[in-house]
Amino acid sequence: MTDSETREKWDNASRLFDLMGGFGPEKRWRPYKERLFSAMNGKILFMAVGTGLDISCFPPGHDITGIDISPKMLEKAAPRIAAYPGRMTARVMDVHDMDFPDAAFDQVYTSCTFCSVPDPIGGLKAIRRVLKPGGGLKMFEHTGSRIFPFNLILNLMNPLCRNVGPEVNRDTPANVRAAGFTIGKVTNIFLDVVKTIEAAAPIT
Amino acid sequence: MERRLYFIIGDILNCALAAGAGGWLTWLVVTDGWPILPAIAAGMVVGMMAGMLVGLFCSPFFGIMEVILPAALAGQMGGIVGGLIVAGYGGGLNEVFLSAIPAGLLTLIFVYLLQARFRGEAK
Repeated sequence: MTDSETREKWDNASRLFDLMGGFGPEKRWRPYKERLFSAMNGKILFMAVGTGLDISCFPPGHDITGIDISPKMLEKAAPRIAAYPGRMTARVMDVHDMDFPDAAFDQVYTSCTFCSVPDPIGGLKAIRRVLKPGGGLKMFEHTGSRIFPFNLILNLMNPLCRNVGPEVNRDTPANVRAAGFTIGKVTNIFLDVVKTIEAAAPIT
Repeated sequence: MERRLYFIIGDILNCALAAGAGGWLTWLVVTDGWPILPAIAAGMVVGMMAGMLVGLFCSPFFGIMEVILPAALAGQMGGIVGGLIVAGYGGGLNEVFLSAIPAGLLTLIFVYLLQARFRGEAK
């Protein structure tokens, strides 16, 4: 899928994004997201802001730069970004083609992002570039499963899901390792499907 | 395991409806002339599809993966029950629907047990 196709897909998805994800899923995940985001420190890059549903889970007073490939998502996120009690800006940008200088951020956060990035390992390598050596990558993601029959169900769902939204059978921890990060901790939230991943960029 | 009452009620509703819908759709597809094994196989397939649709409908209220995956499995179980009843002795729609619901609730218990096993720091 090309970048323009990805942008178009998420521009289209922005119409129903809050309806599908704004209440139940956010309410369900909120305690886990708040716990993950509570470790925010220093200059932060937040990947794939979407409509800004995660922003209310951010602790106040931080310096956060958000990016998203979809201009329509960011249009919807604008009031939430403006309401953040700290310093937050957002730009339309593709993770594969970020124009930030090397080592620009202390931490990078993602929330249901690497189910959607077309080249996940390439995207994670791009994050590694903009992250300071030893900087933290903290992810809230859904992945594929190793549990039968859920792995079968997710593999069957994937061809349909990938056309309208995320891929549902990715092995994101393996992708994080393949991009050169060191994983410190993976915490399962729902089965082995919804999880947090805490990793660090190499020091050298 | 989920401890918030709102989500527990949602999980129960979701799995019961998904299994019921799986049984119902199977009743539409399978007739009492079918051999048992093809009836069960057809029930699994159409039940899973019905379960996913129910999960998609419940998703905005109760969660995404936590809803759609159990719903798909509960739908399959409902479809299996439906296939057995229809192909076994030509049971009616109400019987299929009401018999599928407990299968959905058993599926939820199975998911909760798995969740207790897998939740927390991954090895």
